[in-house]
Amino acid sequence: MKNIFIESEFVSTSKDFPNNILYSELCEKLYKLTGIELDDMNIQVTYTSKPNQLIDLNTSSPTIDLSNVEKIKVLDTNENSLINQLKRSKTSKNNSNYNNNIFQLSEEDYLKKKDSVLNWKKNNKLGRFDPVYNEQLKQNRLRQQEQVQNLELNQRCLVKSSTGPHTERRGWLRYIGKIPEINNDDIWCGIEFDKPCGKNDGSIKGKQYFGPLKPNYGGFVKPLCVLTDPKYIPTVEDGISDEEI
Amino acid sequence: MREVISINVGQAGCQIGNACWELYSLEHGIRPDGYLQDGLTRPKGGEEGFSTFFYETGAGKYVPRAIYVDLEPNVIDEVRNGPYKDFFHPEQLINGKEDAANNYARGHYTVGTQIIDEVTDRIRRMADQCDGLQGFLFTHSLGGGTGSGLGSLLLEQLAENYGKKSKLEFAVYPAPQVSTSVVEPYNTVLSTHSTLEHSDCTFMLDNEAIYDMCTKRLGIARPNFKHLNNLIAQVVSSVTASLRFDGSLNVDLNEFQTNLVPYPRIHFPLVSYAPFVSKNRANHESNSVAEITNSCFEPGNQMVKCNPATGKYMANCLLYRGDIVTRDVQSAVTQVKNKKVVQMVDWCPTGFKIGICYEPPSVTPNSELADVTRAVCMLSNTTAIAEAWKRIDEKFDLMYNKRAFVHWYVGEGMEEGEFTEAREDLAALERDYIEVGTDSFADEEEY
Repeated sequence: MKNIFIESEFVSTSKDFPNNILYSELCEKLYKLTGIELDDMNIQVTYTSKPNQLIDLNTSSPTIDLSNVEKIKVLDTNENSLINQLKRSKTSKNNSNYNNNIFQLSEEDYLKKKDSVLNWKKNNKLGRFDPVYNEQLKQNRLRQQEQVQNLELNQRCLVKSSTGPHTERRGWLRYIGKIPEINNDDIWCGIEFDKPCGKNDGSIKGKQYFGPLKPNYGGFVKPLCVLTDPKYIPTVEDGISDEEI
Repeated sequence: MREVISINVGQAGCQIGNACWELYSLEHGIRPDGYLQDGLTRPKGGEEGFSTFFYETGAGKYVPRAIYVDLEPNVIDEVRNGPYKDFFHPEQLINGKEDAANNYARGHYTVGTQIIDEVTDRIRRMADQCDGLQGFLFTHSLGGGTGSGLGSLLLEQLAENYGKKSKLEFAVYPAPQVSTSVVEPYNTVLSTHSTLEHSDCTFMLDNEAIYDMCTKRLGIARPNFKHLNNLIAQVVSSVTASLRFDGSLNVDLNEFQTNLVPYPRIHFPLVSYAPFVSKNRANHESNSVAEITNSCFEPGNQMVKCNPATGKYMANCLLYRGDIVTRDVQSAVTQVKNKKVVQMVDWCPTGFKIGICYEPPSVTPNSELADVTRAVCMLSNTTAIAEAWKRIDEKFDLMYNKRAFVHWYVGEGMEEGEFTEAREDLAALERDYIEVGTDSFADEEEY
């Protein structure tokens, strides 16, 4: 047995092969591994003796000696093969078609699932299904919404925290609104911090709400911990001179 | 007694099993031939703890409570001919002749069903030897054919035969960038669907995350499966240490479920481990309790690539081992809480559970890991792990939209409906994780 590294468009793994194998058998195994059809296969190998070279596999005899083979690379020579089609749809990840191809479970179908977390919360009166807790949630959302009236977009701001390494952080208020990437109910404030004390660059789960900033200069917080006022100039230890304000 | 039977299925499962049992035998003072190391009169770990994983024969030999299963002979033949050949009873090593060719349907149906009765029979005989069987510990991969197909078939059978016993899985999960075969996303989704209601707690291990640890943390230029499996074994050993050594705080297999799984479907805790120190850097690291605790919250220490900073925690277990003072643990946890690195779900009770096992970790002679006096393994049920499902689900869709390679499965007698059923179940799982993350009103919540 010989452990050989196998590489193709979608696959990168190592597998045990017998030292001597029929060419047809090798192709069949590689097909099952890489999905590349036998007719479209171009097999290249790296021998232990020449570690950095890939050469076409010598198929002059029906039996292939793999004992000195370190790596097998399988190429697909057919532009229209299934693998090459898959490769193209994989790389088109950013176009809108990609998302249309992702299976979406409808809310209706999710509601039908008896063993869902949603049902568990409903049946056990957890979270918003607990009347007392839900009232607290509502009150809190109301207070958060009220606070939005006191905030001025693109103004200097102060972000307060009761615990953690920074109890007071300063920056610019860059966004006010809902963020479906987090949840559908809350209002959020997007902050451009003066220091890299945030959690992102102004984007969340791929969606850019402001910026893009340098990593960790952005963050999303609840309105109640934000105050806006021109007086919240950058603190001195931030090393930002007055001219930049 | 509270016995635990380990079941290793498929190539990855068996190879991880080898690495684990090598480590266990070292930790308990047992030689590769099953007898005690020179100078010992009893195995290390205390009777109660030790006997959870080993049984003693009349001849004073110690045998693992383990079963190896593979559809093809190569990997198990290596056990039979390797340095641990006398460690196992021949009955514990079961293999067929024909492999699953990376096909879930072959593992679960055509080829797997030929061997399943033999396997369940051997498991039953091993279970009969136990006074108070706690449950089963599975190791398998989800991407191949045997681990995913036969593994889930076996879990279904165990659920039927031993309904109340705990069933925990260590499951090798596909890496984000590279695949071990082109149909890996199919195998993973199909296997996850069929085990979802049978496994009580599943610890996922993503090869790419572990590969990166080997290159970045341990300085191994080109890690092979042996390196990866050694790291995995270290983690598995940390999780099971409290079961294997007397005097630990967390002693029962079902406590993992009790402490980590608030709702049966949400049973995929993220595993982190610290420290990862290579032999040549061992002297430069202090590895205080505070340091190793903090390290657990760094993405580079996670067994699955995902970003817990964007998720919420439902439960958190810190399992320490070695030279540990409770006071240090308490202050380390307080520190973590104050730094707000952890956002808990606030509509259900959550918290930090602490486990301490005073036995330090061991390392095998060929391991790249340094011998350290203490280590910690964090098991956290975070909604961030849903990223892993999302990744594999999208890969599945990419192929299934074109019905690519579906005929390989239908050709083994599987119905195409199983694909859609499985995919829908996983979509519901993703949705479940979103539902876990909603309904929090913490004023200082931050993203």
